[in-house]
Amino acid sequence: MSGESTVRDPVTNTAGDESFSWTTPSPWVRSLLVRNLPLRRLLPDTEPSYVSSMLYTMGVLTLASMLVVIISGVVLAVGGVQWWHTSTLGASVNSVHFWGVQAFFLFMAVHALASFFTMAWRGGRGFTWVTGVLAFLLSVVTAFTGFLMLTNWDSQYIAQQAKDAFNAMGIGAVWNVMDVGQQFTLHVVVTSGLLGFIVLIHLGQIRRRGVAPPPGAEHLEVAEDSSATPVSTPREVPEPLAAAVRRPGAQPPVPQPVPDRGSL
Amino acid sequence: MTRQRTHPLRHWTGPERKYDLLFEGTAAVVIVSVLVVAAAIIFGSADGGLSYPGGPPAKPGTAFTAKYWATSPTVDDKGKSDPSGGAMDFATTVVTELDGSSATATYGPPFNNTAGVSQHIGRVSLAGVAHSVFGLTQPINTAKDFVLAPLGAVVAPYDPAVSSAVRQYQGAGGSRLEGVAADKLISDQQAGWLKAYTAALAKGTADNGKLTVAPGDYGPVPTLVQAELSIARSGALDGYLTSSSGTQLTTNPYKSTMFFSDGTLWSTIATGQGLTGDQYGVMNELWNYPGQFWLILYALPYHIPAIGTSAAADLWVGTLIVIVGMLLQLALPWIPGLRDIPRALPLYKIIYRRYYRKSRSNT
Ligand code: HEM
Repeated sequence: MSGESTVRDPVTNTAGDESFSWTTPSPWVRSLLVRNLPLRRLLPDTEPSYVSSMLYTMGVLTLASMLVVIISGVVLAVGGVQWWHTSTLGASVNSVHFWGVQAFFLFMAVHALASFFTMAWRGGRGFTWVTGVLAFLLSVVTAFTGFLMLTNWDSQYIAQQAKDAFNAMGIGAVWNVMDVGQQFTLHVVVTSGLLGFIVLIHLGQIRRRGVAPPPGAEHLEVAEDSSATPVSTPREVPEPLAAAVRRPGAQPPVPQPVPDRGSL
Repeated sequence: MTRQRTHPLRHWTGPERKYDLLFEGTAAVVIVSVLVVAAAIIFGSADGGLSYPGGPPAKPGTAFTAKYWATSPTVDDKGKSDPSGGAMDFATTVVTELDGSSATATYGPPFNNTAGVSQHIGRVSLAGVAHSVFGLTQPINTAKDFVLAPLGAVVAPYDPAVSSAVRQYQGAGGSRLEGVAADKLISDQQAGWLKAYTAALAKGTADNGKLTVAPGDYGPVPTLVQAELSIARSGALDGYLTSSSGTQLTTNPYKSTMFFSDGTLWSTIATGQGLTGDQYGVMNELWNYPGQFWLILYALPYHIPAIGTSAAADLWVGTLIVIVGMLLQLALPWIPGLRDIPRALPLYKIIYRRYYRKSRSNT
């Protein structure tokens, strides 16, 4: 597309089809984000009516429990590894952390089952499933390292038992489950951080793709740039933005070049 | 340049309803916080500690220590309590650390070079591969690290008898290299002393921490084991084992964990609390609190007879977890058969029943 006829989004100054450049990658990133994660998708105020089922709240409840777990976990970690053994406040925070984790896994299990039985990977959502499974696996590892840094009998025994599987798999040579210091770092930095990152991607994928339609209703989900459907209702999106998110090549109804206002 | 996108943004053109993501998210956080705090107040949480049937009063939040081990009673099959049972278990274990027959001494990598013990399937041993790439990453010499070094540091400076016993024992040979194979830990002379002492100890007593055995040719061994038992009972051994890694404060107590687990009191406590593998222990936490219930996926394979009884059980389970617990789950949307289960078992018809009813009545 030539620069002259390009319709640019006034807010992000992107036409939605910028190509990648190593020296000036920002326009490409802007274009990528505007194309895939327009704000009306990130913060919607309507949803398909079939999403009214309780099962669809499970993902959000998982996320909410994760937040409770992170906040209580930060307090515990700042208190110090052994704080909760000796302080009543610490023990209470530990209880919140513990039950937060139980809720997290419970909601996540129902969420995963619901995603399975609704075949939520349909319609190009396979990688939403993949990041979900990765989130589950990372959650398991995170909970596991948490149990290994209790500095009480439980952590001693769990570590002494778990080492056999780790050693048999060859991982034990570098991941010493009896090393409390290493487990602390893994728990509060590495696995939690990775989990947060994966969950962000998971959420981004869901916002981008929306939830899967009920089996049999797949045809009601239509590409936004197909000529059959409007990009969006005009109420929601100002026309220049709507045009900007169109697939390049599709004809905007009235090509109206917007003056370049620079990057806002 | 026109970019080809496999999945253009798509839009649901069926019926919609109003909702607000931020509102729903905030509501979820409030609801979950209330539920979790309520559960925390009502149920609290376990701080796992030491307890077993017939043991001393349960102590929440404690770790297993040499002092606890060497001062606790044991209970035999008939329910008879032996107040010096822990001391005897400790002394017996110390002898196995010296003669290289303990579980730790015979473990192999990453603790020592004891050969041919790593788990393998066919000729594949992942532990062996890791050993050749990384070497011994957590080396242990059970005789030196658990017995001779602490005695040398804690008792010998003040006790000439123990000092000369340590010197006599070390003068009789054996290797004090970290990670040495079990069969290199002792010389023939030491093996002779230890064999005789093991037999005598089995018939001996440990009343009030004093070991008594029939006379025999045990060399310096009785002095060493008695001194080790004494510092265990006083707590000095714990100070040595858990506070230093030689040059730094330790956050890595793997040596003490391995030492403690060589005794039988260790597993007595685990069994008493329902923590062992046979009891699906990975899923439990102490005192009837739920634990890592999600680990049932990883506990189940151990109960498949062919796997549970295999010498390479951990390797089989680990391999199964990687294949079934990770790869199969990740690839599920692309695996014919598995991904069609929801069509054969159409629960989605219940989940979407309202939607289907409406769309039918509309057409
Ligand atoms: C940290 C854990 C997780 C969080 C915070 C999370 C969060 C979410 C949220 C908020 C949604 C939006 C729709 C809904 O709530 O149902 C969602 C959808 C989805 N999740 Fe997760 N999830 C997690 C783990 C998983 C797991 C373990 C799986 C599968 C094994 C999974 C698979 C999916 C799929 C396939 C969708 C799309 C649903 C659809 O299109 O109907 N997620 N997730």
